[in-house]
Amino acid sequence: MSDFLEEIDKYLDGAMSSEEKRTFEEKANLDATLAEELKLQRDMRSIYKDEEWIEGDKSILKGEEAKELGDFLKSKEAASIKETIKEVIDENRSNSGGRKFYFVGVAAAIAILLSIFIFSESKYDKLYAHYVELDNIPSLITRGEQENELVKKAQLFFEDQKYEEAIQSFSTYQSTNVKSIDPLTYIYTGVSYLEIRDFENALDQFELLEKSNTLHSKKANWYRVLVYLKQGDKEKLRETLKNISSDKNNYNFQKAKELIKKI
Amino acid sequence: MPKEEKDLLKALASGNKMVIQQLYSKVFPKVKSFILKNNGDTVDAEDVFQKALMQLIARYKVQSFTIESSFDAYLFGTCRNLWRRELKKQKSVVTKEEIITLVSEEDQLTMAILEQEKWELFQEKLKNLSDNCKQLLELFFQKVPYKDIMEQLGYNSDNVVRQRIFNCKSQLTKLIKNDPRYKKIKDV
Repeated sequence: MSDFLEEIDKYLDGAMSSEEKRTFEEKANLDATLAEELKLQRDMRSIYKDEEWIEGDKSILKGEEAKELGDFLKSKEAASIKETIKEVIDENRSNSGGRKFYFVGVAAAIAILLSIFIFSESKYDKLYAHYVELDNIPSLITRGEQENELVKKAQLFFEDQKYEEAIQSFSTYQSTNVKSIDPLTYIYTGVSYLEIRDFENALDQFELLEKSNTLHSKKANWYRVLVYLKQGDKEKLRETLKNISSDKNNYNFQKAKELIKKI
Repeated sequence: MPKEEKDLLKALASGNKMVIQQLYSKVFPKVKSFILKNNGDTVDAEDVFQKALMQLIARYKVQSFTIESSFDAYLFGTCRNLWRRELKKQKSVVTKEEIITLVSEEDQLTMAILEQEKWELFQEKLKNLSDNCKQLLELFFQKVPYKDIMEQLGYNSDNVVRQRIFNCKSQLTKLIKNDPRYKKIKDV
């Protein structure tokens, strides 16, 4: 094992010549012990570096332990416990949200009164402004990571409300990064289009968001709501809100219920 | 595992709502603040919290599972790792061209559990090393250059550091491989 370790270190450190690397990789392909050792050393490096999580090999799902876990998780018992956990989360959410909504409600009432007297802005525009929450979109700039310069620039444009420039930078980023695109950029680009009232392109971005198959995908419908709100498309707005409020697991379920009453 | 922790785990696994509420009150605020600081929102935090509880319950039901640290700290640690997992998955998201393979939610949870088990085994073994080894390896895994480690810890040459790290790493490798759990999770 020890003689392997030195070689593996050299390989993982990137200290091998391309010839050595090729020979080593060939050897690892043929030698199961070496392959296992290589995997272990690679795992050690990522786990102890404590930065990036390593995703396991899905073939393990066929293993015994995975089967047992899967059986339990698919059981009725697990489903009912999961339901209880959701109940607790929902109850706590509405408790803490209740008061907040009261104040928001008062503020909105004042705002609406003001708007009747002073502004002639439409009700939908008001609601859009209330719900878009530009500052609440998670930042694209993460700590301690190599940032994509383009994304950084794009977000700054966005924050300065220079939406056309932001769109340009985001589009370049999306078309040049074929391998992996940060799903948040779909939200940023979509909202930028929305701000300049380019609804078609905004909807396209949220479509891409939905298809990104990430945790953010579930937010797509909510952003569509914002599009229809700004566009004033009452029919589609109602339809999408109904869709969201049909299942409390949907993103912004509460807000959708609240908004449907207001329109 | 202390009796209190054991009872808590048992009650949680039976779906006791009061216990869930108690854990929510104590742990969720921390989870939420961690996730908000790390590119997530409240909905993400709720999602992670729920998955972490399901993870603990499944492990309790399927294997003899014990918690060595405090329950709250353990639950938070699980949430933290689940969020890191999610972030990693988001990062490696692929574009339109690639066929998206759908993995069921249950399979995702199972994968997360097995990955967490591996992570725990690795962390536990590192703790079993001498303080000196731990210190050296921590720096090594953070990719601090040998020369800097030498200066920081007052060694005479970077070659000595290199050798010392090599030995510590061999020890750690052996500890991991000799644990019976390694056989079960090595293919993860």
